[in-house]
Amino acid sequence: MSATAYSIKTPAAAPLRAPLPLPVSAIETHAALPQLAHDDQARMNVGAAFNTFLAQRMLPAVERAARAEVEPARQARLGQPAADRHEYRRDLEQNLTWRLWSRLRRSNMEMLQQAGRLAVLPQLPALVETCREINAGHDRLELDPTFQPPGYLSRLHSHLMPGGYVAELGDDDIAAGAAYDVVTHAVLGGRSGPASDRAGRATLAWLREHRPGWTPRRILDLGCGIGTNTCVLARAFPDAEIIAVDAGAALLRYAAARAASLGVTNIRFIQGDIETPPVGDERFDLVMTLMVLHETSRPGMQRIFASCREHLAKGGLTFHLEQPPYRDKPLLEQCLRDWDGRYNNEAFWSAMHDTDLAAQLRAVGFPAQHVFETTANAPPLGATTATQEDYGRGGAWYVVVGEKPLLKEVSV
Amino acid sequence: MSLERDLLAMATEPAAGPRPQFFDDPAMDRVWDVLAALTAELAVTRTRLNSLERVLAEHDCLPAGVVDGWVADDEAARDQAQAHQEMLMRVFRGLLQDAAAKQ
Repeated sequence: MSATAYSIKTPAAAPLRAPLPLPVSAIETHAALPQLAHDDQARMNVGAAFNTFLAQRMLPAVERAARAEVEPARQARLGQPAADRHEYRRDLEQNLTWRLWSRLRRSNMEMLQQAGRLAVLPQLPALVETCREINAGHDRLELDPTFQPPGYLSRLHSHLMPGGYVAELGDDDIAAGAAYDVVTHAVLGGRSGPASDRAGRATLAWLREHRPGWTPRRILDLGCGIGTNTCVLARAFPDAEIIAVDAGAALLRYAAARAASLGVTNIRFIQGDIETPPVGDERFDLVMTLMVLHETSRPGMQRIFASCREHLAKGGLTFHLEQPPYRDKPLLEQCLRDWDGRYNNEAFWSAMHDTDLAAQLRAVGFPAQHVFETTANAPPLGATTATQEDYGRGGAWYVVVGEKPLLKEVSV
Repeated sequence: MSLERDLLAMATEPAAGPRPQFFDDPAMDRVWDVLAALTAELAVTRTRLNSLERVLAEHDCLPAGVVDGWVADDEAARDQAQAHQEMLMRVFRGLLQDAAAKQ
């Protein structure tokens, strides 16, 4: 044998190594964060690995099967391609590779939600006590015991989270917030960053680029969840007064404790319906929803947009970040993007991605010349950038913006 | 807040909403669902074994790499081979019983 080191000859087109997810131990530490024992951490990391496998290794096989099997079969049977994504999906649903990928993706989501709850519930009394103590030390949490959340939040539990956002397991419950914190990180393989705040960082990056030097004095964040994205803006604009609204009391208690423990003191977390935010007649320079609209409803979204206009100060902007609309996308990609709407309990996902959001903003009174579509992004921080987009869960977002002009428009 | 309810049952409650069926036979959905869970639990177990070896090495109880370099003697190899057979018989019990019923 020769003494030279053996090396595998890789063809020029050798695939890049699949990206590795960021482990759950990388989540930004704060006082309310659940402590995960070894196997609970392993379950989250295995779930993240499973989703990464499904996106990076199996999704390309689904795409190949669609082109090599599904499309030719339709052509042979009917002599024409699918007319829309609904026809295309009905064909896909007969394909074995699609079925297996879908089955495993759904199962993994259910497993992660169960694992998250099983990790959180045994320590819930202690976590509740921690949050109580933290939240007793400030006045930035305002809950409404008489509040009735919109029906769509309890009829369908978003992304298979048992109980959804509005369940209350006991007095001063925070279970939904704690489970959301760890499970969301695992589902995205940590590609939203250690603080699961990539949408917030993308929003900030967009503002810095498109409104350089602008410092909003008041910000309204509608559908803040556990406030990870809100905290990005709160830190970037420390003098701004921020109000973050959500329907879920368990999310808000957790969000308030998390923010306080991270030293963020300029956000007031208020329980209420984001369709009619409980902020009186207050006005804000920035009114935003980040990955929220797809969890509402058509009439709900229209009322949210109307409220955004009502509560926007002159010269301010309303900013809505979502996954991109389906229009102009190939039918297969539309089907892949629509998976979360059909199989992951995202109530308004399918219809919203078919809707012209810019037209919806104009319909509530934003002048046409002050409504525009754009994109936003931010680095994943820590996790390897994916080579294959996990459609519908990627970090390249679509944004629709409405501006309220400083001066009233005068028609000439 | 006190919690005296069955946590396993609480954590296993399904989310409200439709439960999709991807295969013609719902049993196939269930089988793949169980396979996914078993795969995940196996990965968790392998992670625990790996962590255990690392912890033992960190505490100077087990030099790093000693398990990988370990060779079973005849008795250990026989025991492990027997354990493999036992596990396969447990996992594939149903297949064997079906085959036996056809004779």
